[in-house]
Amino acid sequence: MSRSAEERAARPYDPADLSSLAFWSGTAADRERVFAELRRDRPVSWHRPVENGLFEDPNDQGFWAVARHADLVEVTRRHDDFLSGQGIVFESMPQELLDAGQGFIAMDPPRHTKVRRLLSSAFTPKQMARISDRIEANARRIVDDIAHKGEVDFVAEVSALVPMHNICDMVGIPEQHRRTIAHEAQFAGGWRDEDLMQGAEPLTRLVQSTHTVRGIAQELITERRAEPQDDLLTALVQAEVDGERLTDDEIVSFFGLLMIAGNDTTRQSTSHGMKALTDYPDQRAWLVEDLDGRMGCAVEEIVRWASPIMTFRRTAARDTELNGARITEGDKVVMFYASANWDETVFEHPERLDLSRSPNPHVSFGGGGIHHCLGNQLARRQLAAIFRELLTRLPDIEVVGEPVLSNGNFFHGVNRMQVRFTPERRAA
Amino acid sequence: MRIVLDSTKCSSLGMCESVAPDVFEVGDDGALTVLDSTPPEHRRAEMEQAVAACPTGALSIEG
Amino acid sequence: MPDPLVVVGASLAGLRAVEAARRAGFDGPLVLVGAEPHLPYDRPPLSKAWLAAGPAPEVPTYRPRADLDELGVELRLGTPASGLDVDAREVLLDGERLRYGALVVATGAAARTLPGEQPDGVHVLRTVDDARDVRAGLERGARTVVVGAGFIGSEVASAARARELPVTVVEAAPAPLVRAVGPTAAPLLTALHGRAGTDLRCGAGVAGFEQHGGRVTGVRLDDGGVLPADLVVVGVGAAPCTGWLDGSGLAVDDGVVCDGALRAAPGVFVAGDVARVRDGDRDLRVEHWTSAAEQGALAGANAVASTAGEPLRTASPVPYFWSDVYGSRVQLVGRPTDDTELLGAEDGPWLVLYRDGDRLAGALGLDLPGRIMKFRALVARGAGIDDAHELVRAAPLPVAS
Repeated sequence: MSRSAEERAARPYDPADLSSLAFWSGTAADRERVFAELRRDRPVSWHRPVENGLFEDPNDQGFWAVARHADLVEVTRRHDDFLSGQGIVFESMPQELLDAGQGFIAMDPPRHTKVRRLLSSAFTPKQMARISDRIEANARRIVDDIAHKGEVDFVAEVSALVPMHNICDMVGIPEQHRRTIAHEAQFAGGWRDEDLMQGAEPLTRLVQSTHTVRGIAQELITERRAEPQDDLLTALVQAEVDGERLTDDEIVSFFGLLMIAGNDTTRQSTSHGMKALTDYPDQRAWLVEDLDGRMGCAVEEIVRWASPIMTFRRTAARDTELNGARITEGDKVVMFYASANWDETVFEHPERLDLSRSPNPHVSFGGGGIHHCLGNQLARRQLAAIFRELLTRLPDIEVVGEPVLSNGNFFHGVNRMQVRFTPERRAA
Repeated sequence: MRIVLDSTKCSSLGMCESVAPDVFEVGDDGALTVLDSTPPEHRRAEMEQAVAACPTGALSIEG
Repeated sequence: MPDPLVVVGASLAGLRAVEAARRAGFDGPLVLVGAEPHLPYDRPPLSKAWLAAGPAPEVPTYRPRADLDELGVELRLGTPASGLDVDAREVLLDGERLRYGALVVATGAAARTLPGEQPDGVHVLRTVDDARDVRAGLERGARTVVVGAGFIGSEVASAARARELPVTVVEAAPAPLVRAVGPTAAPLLTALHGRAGTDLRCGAGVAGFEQHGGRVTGVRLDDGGVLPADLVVVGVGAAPCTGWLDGSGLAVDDGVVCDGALRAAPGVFVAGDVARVRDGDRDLRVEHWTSAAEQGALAGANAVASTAGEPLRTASPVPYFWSDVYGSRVQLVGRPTDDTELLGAEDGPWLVLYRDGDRLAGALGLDLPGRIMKFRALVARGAGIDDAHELVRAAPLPVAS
């Protein structure tokens, strides 16, 4: 046993449970009770390995849980001490899956720096402006399609479609591949979700979905090389920094990441946002009073409230300290975003939805630094567009019954959620 | 003709974008993107101007 | 052998002039005269990266000597010009009379100083030698007082704070930067000082320096108070270097007056900080890096055209200026006016739009490196304020991360 493994073995586990399937199958409010205790008493605490079900790693000895806002930001910014290259989810993963599925989100400098620079060409102001009209048109199209129905599953007919269409438009994915990709992308974060898995063996299914998405990506890249278009894939194929281009493999990986990070996050924020607007009618009324003027601010609070990604992991590059905890090289360090977004030392009454909250230093897009969400502007824009459209055209839309939540530890997922509204009268 | 960017020298001032906005763009994070690293030959004079405008010598032309 | 094209002033504008002259096909002799002993170097870093902690930086020369040799430029460095005879077409250098076929005047500006005795430890920040002195003071961990809350002063204060040194900025005006950036942006930029822990004293005039054994020990204010200091950096603006042109017959009025083609007299062109351009209703002297670069190139090309009897070009590029203060980037394009509009968050990133009626006159951004050139393009094509709004609507401004 190595020295660090011995140190880990000797370290007592925190009594709070963050590792069981039961913990992650509960509600955000249940989890918050545990987080609140950790934030107050044991901001950086050591826990038994998370209950997994995907891939047994006999060497997994546990993880550090980072619960406070300030510590999360610190871990994010100390990217030399806390690496991403060994995986960004709790669970240990087979290396091939790591390479294929997580792409540059799980890279460290210097490679990360270069790849991020290349990828940032996807999110320049010019690109944003180019797709801005599309985002609004897609919001209209989505509401058009449900407006006469009166009651729908919001997740399937709104939340899932918002990012799917926008990202596909932006990347340049033809219509025939869109639903396949959106569906397959869910497995990356949802392989523990029985509702989604339908009895499939998780690892097999995950590998299968990775292959499907990568296959489509490779096909499209080859097409773009032969025949450039005015889209992101073409831009990625042509982008160049310091004389280097992205390899096909890197583009394929980024494609996978975009589909997962881009689809699943905005989807969850849209669903949680709809639920919040149902549960807090006074906040909704405040927003509707001046939709254009207040939407920007409201979107920030919706994103905080949703905390669509609950955890990201780092791995300690060396022995170091974090808020008093002695961390050993190789330790897994997991950041809890929902906890940081509820940190009472940063947010006044974090338990209240306050659409006028300002400043709102939530960490839903990350704590700054090199892994900060590249698509944050895109996400904000999409949320603003869909809620403006919904609240304008279906003013009484509300959630009925309880949403069916997913039970993974990565996405704060909503699988199904019924909404009801007075059908829109068709314009003559 | 190939536009070569040395990102370690780039200081995100955007002079190049000012000369040729369809070839260069500084992003919100300050990273410069060369949108088209092989612009057509008839734009050489303009590209030379963009390269010359860079205060830090981060751009060059090959070929 | 034709008479040489002589460029007086070996900084950015002068360098761009000789480069442009060669690009324009001039193959006669080219002489570049400089008062400083250094090869042409980049000044903006002197108040930024140059003052940061870490290993001592090298002089940020634009091009090595070999490059200039290859361009066929004869360098006369460390040689201040002392006079000009326009009729004889001669520049006076160290008692020597240098005949020119065409002349580019690019002597720049010199930092203003405060009146009275200047004890050791009191510096301006303009040249690489100034920057060495200021850097050395910061390295010693000086208590720093900056006189003037303009951009140079603010950059020095940021450098001191980045080293966690105590720094006070003394500003005579009750509200700094208002003339430079207008009434909306000025207080927002001024607020950066306080947030970074810099002690800013506005409406405070400097009466003189306290000293001991020839070294500065403090700055005496108008109200009698004394700020202890080991390092004083005076950033109260710059005056164009035109003294050597007395009696030359060139029109001098806070700069050498020239037309839209930068021509001050037959065969004489002006570029950079020293140039006052009067062209139609334009009457401007601009001390920006970009103006020096753009005017230098134009002056060099026009100087060549004038000797060849070809038509001169004019240009009126949109002014562009930047500064780095307290880790934030400030960028200004166009012309500030008092009719402004603020977009974004007050603690940044934010954007101030300057209106001139329904036209967009200019824009100033804090931490919006990806946006400012898009507004420069709008100003350049005389766009309306509506176009600016549309630009922001299509790609909303980023928020702080």
